[in-house]
Amino acid sequence: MRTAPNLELEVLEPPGCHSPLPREAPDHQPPSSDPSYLRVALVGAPNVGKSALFNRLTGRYVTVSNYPGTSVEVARGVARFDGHSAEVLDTPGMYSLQPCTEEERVALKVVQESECDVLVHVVDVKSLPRMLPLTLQLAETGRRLVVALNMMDEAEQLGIEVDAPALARRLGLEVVPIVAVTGRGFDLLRDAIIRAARQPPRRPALPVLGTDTTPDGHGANESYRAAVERQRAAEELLKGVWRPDGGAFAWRERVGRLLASPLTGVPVLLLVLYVGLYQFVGLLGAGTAVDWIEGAVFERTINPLVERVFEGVPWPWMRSLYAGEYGLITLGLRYAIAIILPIVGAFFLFFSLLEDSGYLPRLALLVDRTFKRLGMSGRAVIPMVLGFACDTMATMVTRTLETRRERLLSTLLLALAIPCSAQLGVILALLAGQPLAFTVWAAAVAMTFVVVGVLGARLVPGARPVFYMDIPPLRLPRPGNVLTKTWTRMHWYFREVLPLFLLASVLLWAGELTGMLARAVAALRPVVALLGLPDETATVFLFGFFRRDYGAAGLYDLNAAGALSATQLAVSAVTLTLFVPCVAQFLMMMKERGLRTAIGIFALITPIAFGAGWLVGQIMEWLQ
Amino acid sequence: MSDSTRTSVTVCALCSAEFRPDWAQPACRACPLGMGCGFVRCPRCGYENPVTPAWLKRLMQMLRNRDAD
Repeated sequence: MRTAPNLELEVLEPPGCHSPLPREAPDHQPPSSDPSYLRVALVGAPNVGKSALFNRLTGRYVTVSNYPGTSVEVARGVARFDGHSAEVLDTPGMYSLQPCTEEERVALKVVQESECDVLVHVVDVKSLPRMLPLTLQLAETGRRLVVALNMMDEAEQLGIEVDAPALARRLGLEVVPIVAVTGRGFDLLRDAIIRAARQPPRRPALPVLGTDTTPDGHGANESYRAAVERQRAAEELLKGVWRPDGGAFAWRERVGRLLASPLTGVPVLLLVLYVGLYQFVGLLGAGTAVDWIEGAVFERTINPLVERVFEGVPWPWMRSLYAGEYGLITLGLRYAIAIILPIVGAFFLFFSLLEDSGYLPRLALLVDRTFKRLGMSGRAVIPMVLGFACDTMATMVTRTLETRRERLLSTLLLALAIPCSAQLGVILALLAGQPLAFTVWAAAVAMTFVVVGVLGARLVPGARPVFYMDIPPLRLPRPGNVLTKTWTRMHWYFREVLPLFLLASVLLWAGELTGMLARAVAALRPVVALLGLPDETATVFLFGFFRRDYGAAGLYDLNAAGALSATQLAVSAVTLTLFVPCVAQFLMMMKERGLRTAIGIFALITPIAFGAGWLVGQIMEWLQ
Repeated sequence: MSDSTRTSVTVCALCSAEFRPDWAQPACRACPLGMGCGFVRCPRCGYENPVTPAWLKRLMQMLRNRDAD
């Protein structure tokens, strides 16, 4: 097990060790080929102002090139320190010395390989408790280290007080308060770097770490324990040195903690889901907006107009292509514009608000423990949350998960129990007036998610993931940001989804003409009959395979025609939610996990979906 | 030697990683639909962040400038 950070580092003079004093550079060329120049590397977490500091130190003249053997770009430039020149290296962001990404591996290499004489750990002083553990890890490596407390101006505005000299004494390191964007504190920083460069390197308290996660997960646990100890040590160090006031900053920190804590975070999550998804997306988007666009715009205006226009067309096949049951305008465009667009629009707006508020990382932290029981970590909340927008995109994002097991389980759960935004919106709208059906649907989908996840975690072998995530501060969403993100997503919808709706209409139209659609529906009919559903739901399930939301829109039509009872509504909603993923998601599963796995998931999901639907039908009948 | 233009960065909505959108992998690169969806993937966590289109950036800048005047 790793020990707590050793803060009393022994200073040694290694034999033959030289102190790399800066020399006068002949020009502003980065002297990367000359080993005698002082080399300074800026390290630290992402988004702490490393690049702003780098730009200020080096001016305009920099080279940006790939780090050897990687595709990660690293910027090098020349800075003037007290009449001497030094090469400055801007490294990619890193959270700890246990790298998860290629960028972090490059940053670790810079630390590991003694490429630089002095490391400057740039920290956001507002988040010092979260940043100091990395300072401690860097100190453990024995490298010459200077800590730059950046964003002092913002900290002062928030009423945060920092006693930099006291922190420097406790750490035994140079600590300099700066403001990278204005250049405040730069003279002190340059002096501190030169002083540090004149010091001999310290003996490392611990070897420089790489990834220490072993396949059985023991290394991961050890790494986690060390991280917790380092965090405790950081908090101890900061007592009386870093003082947030009782104002807005402390309030935001407190709210942030409450959102990530299970006791308070779960009720808040339920409230967010209720207000955001049920009230806003379900009732306002899928209810009011859809009713208006479909009723006033399509049913009363566009559809009659289209039918009149195509009345005179002598070829029935062309009439039905545009204005028939599966017509491009009367079905494809109507589904895309009148039913799905208002729902995804409302969902995108709600989702952009969540994104911009800083809530998502806290949600990841909140679900981390639960997800671990399902064989995943809180990191998997990313594809899961994205799945509520589009499961195809989310399946692609599963590749960023750490272990193969986690990737497989998250792909399975996405395909099975995460409905996409439009499907969710339509289903919520359908079930809004049926509290019993809604409760049974929600319970059935949640239970399927948990049961399949727990079984998967037990049955699928592989390493347990470790989860590290930087938690950005909570903030009030900015209207400009929210609208931009919503607009970009709407643009994506028009560009990618709308053509697919039209294509699906054409395929269904062709299927109807050739009789293939009737045969496929006939093949599904015994299954839907077993579930106690009307024959037309077979068509809905076929729709659902083209796109999940297309199927949901079909269900919406069926319900609007009064073809479904409360029990049938719950059964079809559960079955359709759990039913096989759409064509695009299936292709993505094939691409990401391979054909065999994709077919395996397909084969597993189909009986689960129909089995769960049948069970829901039995429960509903028993309850009524 | 080149002039670095490292100021145009996107901050990941999920993990707050800072990255240049033009250095990040477009989300559509591996997508079977692959039609240029306007999202880029955060190099750290893979989260798909929407990229503000150039015309919208210019419009917002104009509005900001007008407010500043």
